[in-house]
Amino acid sequence: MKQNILGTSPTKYHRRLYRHIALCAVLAALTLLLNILLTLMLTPENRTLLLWLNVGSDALCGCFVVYRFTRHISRQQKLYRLSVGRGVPCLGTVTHISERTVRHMDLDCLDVTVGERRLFLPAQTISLEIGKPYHFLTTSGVITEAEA
Amino acid sequence: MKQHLQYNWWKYLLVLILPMVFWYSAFTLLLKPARNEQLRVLFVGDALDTTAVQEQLSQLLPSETSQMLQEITVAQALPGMTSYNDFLTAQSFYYDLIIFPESQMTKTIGQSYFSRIPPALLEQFPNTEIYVETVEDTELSYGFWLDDSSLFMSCYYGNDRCCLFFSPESVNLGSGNKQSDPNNDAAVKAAQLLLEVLP
Repeated sequence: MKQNILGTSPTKYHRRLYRHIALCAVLAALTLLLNILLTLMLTPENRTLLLWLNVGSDALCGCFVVYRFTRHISRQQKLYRLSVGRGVPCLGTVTHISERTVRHMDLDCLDVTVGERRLFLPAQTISLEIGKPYHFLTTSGVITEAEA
Repeated sequence: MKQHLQYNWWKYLLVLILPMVFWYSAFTLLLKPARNEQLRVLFVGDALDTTAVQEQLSQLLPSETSQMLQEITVAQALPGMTSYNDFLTAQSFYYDLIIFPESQMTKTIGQSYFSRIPPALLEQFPNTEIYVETVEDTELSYGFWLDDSSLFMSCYYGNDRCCLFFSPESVNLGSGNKQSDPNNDAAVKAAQLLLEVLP
């Protein structure tokens, strides 16, 4: 069975990624509109209230965007780029999979030993079994596709 | 989640701090009174009780002018390390009234840094000693000498005579300046109070 790091077809994956980006952009635009609206209502009397409303809305929106971006966009974009890149084929038996993740190309990866080669498998993507031979596709040492 | 925060905590910190800094600066800038909502007086020296003058002006000025003032500032300063020319040029953009003790005045201070006082404005200061300079054989008025019995001199503890000038950049000169609204006459009224020439 063939598995890839995206878990779905690149087109579907790209569409999902685009939805996440669009959601962040819409939220940022709405926050900006709210900021403009509140600023237009500014008077010396309501200065403190409006200041904290603007700061609060921006901070909430910022936190949401940071969370979304780091959890659902940044990593996924990297995986997508790796998966659409031209992979190098590699054949071998998995002899060891690390239990802890390591940082490789700014991604949390499992350290996988295939024969004498050391490869990196992005965490929570492809499931491999020790002792089984696989056909791999790798990009910059990262497994992008595996077929038992 | 723990790992996520371990790598990204600084991003969250940044999105909390940046809006605070940005909006605080933006609101400070937006709520800054306009030029015609503030009156600024500068004394070039260090022998003035600025607090007393400011208090007097804040008390008396609102009843003399219809102009809505949000801020009345009286300050004193000396050129210090900057050149006299740079100092006066910069101050004339910032202050409405500039008062000099005689020791700080150059011979051509009026024609170098200030505009001549228009006749219409001169009429509003009867019985006041006028500071004049001769330009091409013509005597031109540039300022007013402050009388020893005036409000200003009661807060001044130096020995020199003092002279009051209007900044050519002031927008609070009423009909005395083409740039300003005729109703914005706070600088003229403040000068009248300081010279004690109000009817």
